[in-house]
Amino acid sequence: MTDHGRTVTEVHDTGADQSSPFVKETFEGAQELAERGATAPDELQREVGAVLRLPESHGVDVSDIDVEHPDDETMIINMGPQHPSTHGVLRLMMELDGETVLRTKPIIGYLHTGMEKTAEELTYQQGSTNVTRMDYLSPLNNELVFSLATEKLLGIELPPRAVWIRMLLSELQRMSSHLMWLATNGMDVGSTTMMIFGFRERELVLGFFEKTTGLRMNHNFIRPGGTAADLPDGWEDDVEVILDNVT
Amino acid sequence: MTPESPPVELSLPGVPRSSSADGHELVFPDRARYHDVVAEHRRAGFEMLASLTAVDYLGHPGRSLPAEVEPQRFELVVMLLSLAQVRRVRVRVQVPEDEAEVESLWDLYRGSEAMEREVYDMYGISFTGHPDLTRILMPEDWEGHPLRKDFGVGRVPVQFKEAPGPR
Repeated sequence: MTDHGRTVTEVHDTGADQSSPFVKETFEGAQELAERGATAPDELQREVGAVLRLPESHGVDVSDIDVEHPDDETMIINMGPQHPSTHGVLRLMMELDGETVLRTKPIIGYLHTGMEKTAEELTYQQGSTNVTRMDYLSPLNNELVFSLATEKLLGIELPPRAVWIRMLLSELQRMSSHLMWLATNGMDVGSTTMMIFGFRERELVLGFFEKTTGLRMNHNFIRPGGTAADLPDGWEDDVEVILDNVT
Repeated sequence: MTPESPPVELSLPGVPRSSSADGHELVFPDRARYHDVVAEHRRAGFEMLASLTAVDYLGHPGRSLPAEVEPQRFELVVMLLSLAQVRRVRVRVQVPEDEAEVESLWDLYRGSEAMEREVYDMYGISFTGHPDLTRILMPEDWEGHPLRKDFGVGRVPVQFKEAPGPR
């Protein structure tokens, strides 16, 4: 069955009870890695995203590419969607020759929850509740860009204090996000000390957020029109403690 | 820091152009000339395809367009960036509902591959010349294109709640 020249996958009937409350099984047959012969040499050279990725510095010569790689010498294996090294859900189909990866095809979308579609049904005031859940490392920044876009569309002018509260919180959020990156990066190279240090300093920032917004994440604090509340009394001292510890 | 290059003059005869309120350059090619217009930008030093997305204007046909551009249901929006000239251009292409198909930019910008797959997945706009036009976020057997305005939000039945009613 073709549609616009594409092959359309037949809907896969799992044979399950039709009254089942669960969504029918996801069929991923067509996402499998194509046969090696299906990839032409010039395509191999051009680093086709979903078909092959090669470092550009390799400067592949078309004539060097062995398209006729015997299938019985290579192995197609599946990595993921759950794998300790991927920091999330990512599935990779890989063609291996021994320990050399010849081709990969990444398959994403496991974390897609359709938040943009959800946002269509929400009011502007409800919108920041939605966007704050899009990235657990930088919820305040998500709220900020949503609020800025809304204010631009509606022509809303902000009081200066709100502008600077937003700036302060966004910068602190950036620090906590980068600390998380450092910590997990340390974990990847086998340094638990780095992981513990990163999480420890990040906790200081999240503690300040809890004091300010009521929650460690999913704050819904920066809203179209300003912020939900003023900073708590004594916030200068808290920020100073954070800065002294992190720098 | 390298000094900013002078802006390169674009040769776009007959293509409607304007600028947005915040100073971005806008270009409105039709579908036939879309690829050539982007290629001209590529030649003029726009080395980066910053973003490629689409808008479904179903039920909201009114928008500011040059007089010679006929509004259609879908609009493909392509943001091009020249780092050397510090210059942004927004290419807006009208895509009709009954023939939602445009040329792929994959031969000009490799980075368009995933973004075109996303637009295909979410809006059902096809890209000719794309190397692997399949769904990227939704499951392979999903029916419909979720970010179209006539696609319902839907609900999944959950325990400890009454059966989902219409929204």
